[in-house]
Amino acid sequence: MSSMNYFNVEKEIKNIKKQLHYSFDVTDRILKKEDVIIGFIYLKSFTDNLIFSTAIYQPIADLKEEISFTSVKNIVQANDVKEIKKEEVIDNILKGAVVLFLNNSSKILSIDIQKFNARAPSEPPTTPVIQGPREGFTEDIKTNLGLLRKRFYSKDLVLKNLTIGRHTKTQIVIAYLDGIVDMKIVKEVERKLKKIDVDGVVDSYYLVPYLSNRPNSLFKQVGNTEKPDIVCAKLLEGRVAIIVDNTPIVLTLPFVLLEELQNTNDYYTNYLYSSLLRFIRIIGGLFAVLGPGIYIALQLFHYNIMPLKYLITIADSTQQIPFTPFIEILFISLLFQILYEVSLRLPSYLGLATSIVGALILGDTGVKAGLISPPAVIVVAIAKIALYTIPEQAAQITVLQFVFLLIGASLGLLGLIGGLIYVISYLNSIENFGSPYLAPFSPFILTDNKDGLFRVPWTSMRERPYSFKTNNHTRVGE
Amino acid sequence: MMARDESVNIWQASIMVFIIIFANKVLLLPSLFYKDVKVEGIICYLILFLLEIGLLFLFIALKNKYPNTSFSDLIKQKFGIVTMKIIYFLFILFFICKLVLIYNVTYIFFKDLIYKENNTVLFLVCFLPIMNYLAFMGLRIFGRTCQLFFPLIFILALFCVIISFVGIKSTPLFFQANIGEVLLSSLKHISAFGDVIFLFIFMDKIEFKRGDGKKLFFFSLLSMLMIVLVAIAFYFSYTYTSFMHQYALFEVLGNIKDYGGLGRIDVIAVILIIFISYFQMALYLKCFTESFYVLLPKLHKQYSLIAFNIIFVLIVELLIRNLERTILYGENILPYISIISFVIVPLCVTIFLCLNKRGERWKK
Repeated sequence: MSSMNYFNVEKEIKNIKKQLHYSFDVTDRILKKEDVIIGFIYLKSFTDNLIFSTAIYQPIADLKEEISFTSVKNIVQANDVKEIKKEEVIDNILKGAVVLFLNNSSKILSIDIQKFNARAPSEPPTTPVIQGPREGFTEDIKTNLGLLRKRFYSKDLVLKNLTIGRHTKTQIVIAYLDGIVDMKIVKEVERKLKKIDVDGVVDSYYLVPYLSNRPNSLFKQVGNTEKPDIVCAKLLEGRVAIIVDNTPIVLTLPFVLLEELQNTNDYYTNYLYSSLLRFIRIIGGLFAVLGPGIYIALQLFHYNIMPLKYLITIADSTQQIPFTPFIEILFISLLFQILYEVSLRLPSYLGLATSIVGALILGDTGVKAGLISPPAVIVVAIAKIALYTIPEQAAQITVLQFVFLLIGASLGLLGLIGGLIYVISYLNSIENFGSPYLAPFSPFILTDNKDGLFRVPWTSMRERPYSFKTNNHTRVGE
Repeated sequence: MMARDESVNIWQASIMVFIIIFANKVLLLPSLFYKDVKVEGIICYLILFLLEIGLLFLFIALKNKYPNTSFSDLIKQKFGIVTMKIIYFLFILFFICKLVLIYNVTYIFFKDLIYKENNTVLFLVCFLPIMNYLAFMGLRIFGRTCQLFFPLIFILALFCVIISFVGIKSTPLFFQANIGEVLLSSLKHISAFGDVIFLFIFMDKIEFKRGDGKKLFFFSLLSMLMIVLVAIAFYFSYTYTSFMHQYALFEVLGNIKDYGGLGRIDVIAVILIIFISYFQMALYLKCFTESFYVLLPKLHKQYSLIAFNIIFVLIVELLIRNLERTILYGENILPYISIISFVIVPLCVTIFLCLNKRGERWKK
């Protein structure tokens, strides 16, 4: 190669700094040894100075033999040392690599010694378990991939890398088990992700609308979890996982509503007990959605079908209330929602104070002052607590709760049942990656119902779900 | 992607058959039969159910011969396009008239028992959007929705049937009406039957294999059995005052006070009736839109819904608002329209099957 192609190190470094708008953390070092000039450029915010000195700078400075691209490449003490093209330089620097130029070579070396203070895997606050693994994903994608690899000593675990976001250039990994997953789903996921042209991906939720077939819908169409054991189970079922850098939330596809009724604890405890819990979750979810609406419908329209004893109790406790039943329930619901929002954002040491203010002062005093009635407080309180039997659907249930409250107050029982039929038929119209949203209930799939409303023992769950397409349905061998 | 495929599997079709047969035969009908023929009303049920089973049998036979052909195509092939258009016009008439009847029975029931206010707008606001939505979204979504609610509907219906026997107090007198009266009463209320006609409308959209007819038969017989049991429990609960109690299913449960510490259980009947009314009306509307589309294929399906809403609101608002007029309408006008389900369609199907058999013999 002619010397014409060799780098003018100072000029190259100046050029890169210019491209990076002379940001303060762009650092360069020049090492002159005999006739050879070696230029290093990196981001000091991403690179540990000590590692840079001991693993790169010092070994090169102490190099006895003639300095060349090969000798430098061999002497550097880092795992990821690679030759890169000139147009990849900026990307590599931005991803935390030290880029090295030599004035006697036309090649560029990228050395990855990125050091970032990542959080250690800990139990995610959103998915606590009684028994079972407590590890959770972190914001660091490498840690997350490690957590996944640790669970699959299998050559069939495939991890495909993508970069999305014009400015953030966020690393995204599609994970699946080859031989189990339906490759059409993988290709469709890949196609949808590659089509995304957005300035940045700050969290995995940014990808959700692009992966949903009905992005404007209230209902969740992509699964998410913070736990590697859940991702592992879903991959084993034949699903695809999407791991996004800088977020502990991993997305899974295809998604069916049943997944929200299933809880990790279900699989680490007795199957009969977990079946009972699932049933309670459904009851809880239904009560959360319909409870306040039914109460208001009975009070406003259908008091004549209420049993006499209940009617007397309710009439006794509501006759002094200055508000209409609808305003009363709406007021208590809004009050609860305000307290919830406040408790989320307030520092934890103020949480107790909020609870006292909410429960004792506002609730108890409100009842004693005759502004709200005890039955209304009980109904709203149970509905709001029941909402968290399916915490993953809390947002959807909260919206539906208010919608059904309005329907109950304006149309009564007839409207409530009509609304329920509407919601269910709407959910039935959603299909994601070929899987019906309400499967395996409608359409009814017998084998999938072994892990549906109730759960059978592991030994009886011999097949993978049929709710979505997979390549291999056999789960348990003969 | 939205699931808008129009086909349903045999289970979903069977569930629809169950719901449509059960709906609205357990409210006014037992009382009306009693008024005419006393306890022999049960025989009226059996006679009319035989006709319904006959219709079902013809559907299965037709489906076995022509698994993927629509009913409109069959009529067009054998009788020509004009006959097909006339039959489908009659279908439209049949479905809208039945819908008006069902809507009015439901309306009067709810107004009398749980709403107490004569608010037609409220009922239209409840029913029309849901019916339109279900009809617009396609048969597959409709079938899946029925399938999801079926366990609940079935459990509620079974509960009502079993519990209704708890309220039995005495035995009514049998053989008070002669066969002529029984036949006349059956004819008078024939319009409440013939619901399985919807299967012919969706003939090409039902995934059907040989032997699947058993499932259809099973669900329809189950539904019929439950209706007859409700009627028996009703007659045995109220005996000689049965004609005064208009809403059988509700009344048999209301007759039982505080069963097993459950408190008032007639609410269960109300919930059941609401569910089945929604599904029955939506299915009839779906049949209406399908027939409309066959009649005027160049028009978009939305126009059929617009046409339906206008006609329906006009009929409901102008013609019928009270029980007497509804009964009058059901007993005097609708039986003539039922000719479509109990004469024309069976006749057409029999001709197809006979011609087909003759054709096969010729080939041999």
